[in-house]
Amino acid sequence: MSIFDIFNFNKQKTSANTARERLRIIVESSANDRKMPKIKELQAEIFNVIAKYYEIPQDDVNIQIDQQNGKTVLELSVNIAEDAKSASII
Amino acid sequence: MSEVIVVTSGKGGVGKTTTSAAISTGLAIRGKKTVVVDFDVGLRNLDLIMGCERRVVYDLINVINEEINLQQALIKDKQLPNLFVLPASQTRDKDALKIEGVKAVIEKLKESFDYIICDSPAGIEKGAIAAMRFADQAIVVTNPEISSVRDSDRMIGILASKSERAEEGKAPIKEHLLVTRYHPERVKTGEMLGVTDILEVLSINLLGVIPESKAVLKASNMGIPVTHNKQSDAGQAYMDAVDRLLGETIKPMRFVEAKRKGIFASIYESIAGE
Ligand SMILES: Nc1ncnc2c1ncn2[C@@H]1O[C@H](COP(=O)(O)OP(=O)(O)OP(=O)(O)O)[C@@H](O)[C@H]1O
Ligand SMILES: [Mg+2]
Repeated sequence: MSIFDIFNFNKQKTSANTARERLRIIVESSANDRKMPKIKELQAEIFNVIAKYYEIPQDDVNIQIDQQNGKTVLELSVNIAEDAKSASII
Repeated sequence: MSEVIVVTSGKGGVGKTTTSAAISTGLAIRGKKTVVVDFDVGLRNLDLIMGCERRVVYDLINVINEEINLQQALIKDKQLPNLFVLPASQTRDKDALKIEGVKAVIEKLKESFDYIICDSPAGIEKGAIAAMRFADQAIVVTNPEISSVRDSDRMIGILASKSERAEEGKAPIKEHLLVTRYHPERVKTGEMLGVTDILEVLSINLLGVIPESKAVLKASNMGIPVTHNKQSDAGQAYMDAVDRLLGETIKPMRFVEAKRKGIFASIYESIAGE
C-alpha cells in the first residue's frame, strides 16, 4: 500500500482508474477462458441456437463466469428486443 | 452512395486506430450511418478505443468464414445509434483475411452504410493490403517525423498500385493527408517538421492537423473516442477533419500556430485533458 492509497487518491474517478478497471475485467475474462477453454464455444453455440429463432446482434447474448462463495457460477443473459425479427433460416 | 475509407500509414503507432475511431464517431455525429472495421487481425485495439471490448464474441474473420452473418457480428455503439463496430479477431492470424471474403463483406456493408472506415494495421503486408484493397478514399496518417513521412510516401505509392481501383483502371483512390501528434511550439522552435515541410514531400490534399493532446490518452482510458470531448483541441481538430471529408473545404486549419498561452488557457486545457 502506498501513501496515495491511504489518502484515497486512487479511489477518485480518474480516467486512469477507468482504464485500470477495464484492464482488470479483460485479464479476468481471459483467465477464465484459459481455465475453462470450452466457455467461448459454449457461448457461440448458445448464440447460434438463439440465432435460429431470432435475429439478434452478438452482444445481446452475454455469458459471465463469477465466483460466488467458492463456487463458480455461470450467468447467461439474453436480450431479445420486442421488435426482433424472426430468423429467416428456419 | 457509400464511401469506403481506409485509414493507413505504413509506419506503426502513428495514430491510425485513434483516427479511425475519432473520424467514424464524427461522421456518425454528423448523421451518417457509419461502420468502423478493424483489420488488425491478431492485435485488435479498435474495440478498446471504441469502448466495446466486453461485447466482442464474433469478429470479421467469423463473418468472412461465414460462421455468423454480418448483421449479427456488428456491435452497436453505446452512444450513437448510427455507429457500428466490426472487430478484428484476436486469435487468428492475418492469413485468415481471404481477399474474396473481405470483398464480400465490404459489398454487403455498402448496402446499409454511408461510410465504411477501415482501420489498417501497420506495415505493407496482407492486413494492410486487405484494408486498402476496396477503398474509394484513403486517410494517410503521418507524424511530423522523418521516418513517418517516408513511410507515408511509400504507402501512397502502394495505394496507387495495389488497390482494386488501380488494377481495374478506375479513377484512383482519393488520398488525404492527416498530420497527427503535432506540436506547434516545437515546430516554431525548429525542433519538429512543420505541415508545409510534410506537404512538400507528400503532395496530397491536407485533411487536417491533430495536435499532440492529453485528451487522446484520456479518451483511450475511458473507451470514448476523443471526438466526444468537444472541449478538447484534438476533438475539435478531428471534427474539423470530418467536416472537410464531408465537403466543407473552407474550414481554416486550427491548432497549427504556436500560441502564447495565458494562465487561463493553460488551466482550461488541463481541465479538458484531465
Ligand atoms: N494526437 C495525439 N496526441 C497524443 N497522443 C496520441 C495522439 N494520437 C495518437 N496518440 C497516441 O499514440 C499511440 C498510438 O496510437 P494508435 O494506436 O492510434 O496508433 P496506430 O497507428 O493505430 O498504431 P498501430 O500501428 O500499432 O496500429 C497511442 O498511445 C495513442 O494514444
Ligand atoms: Mg492501430
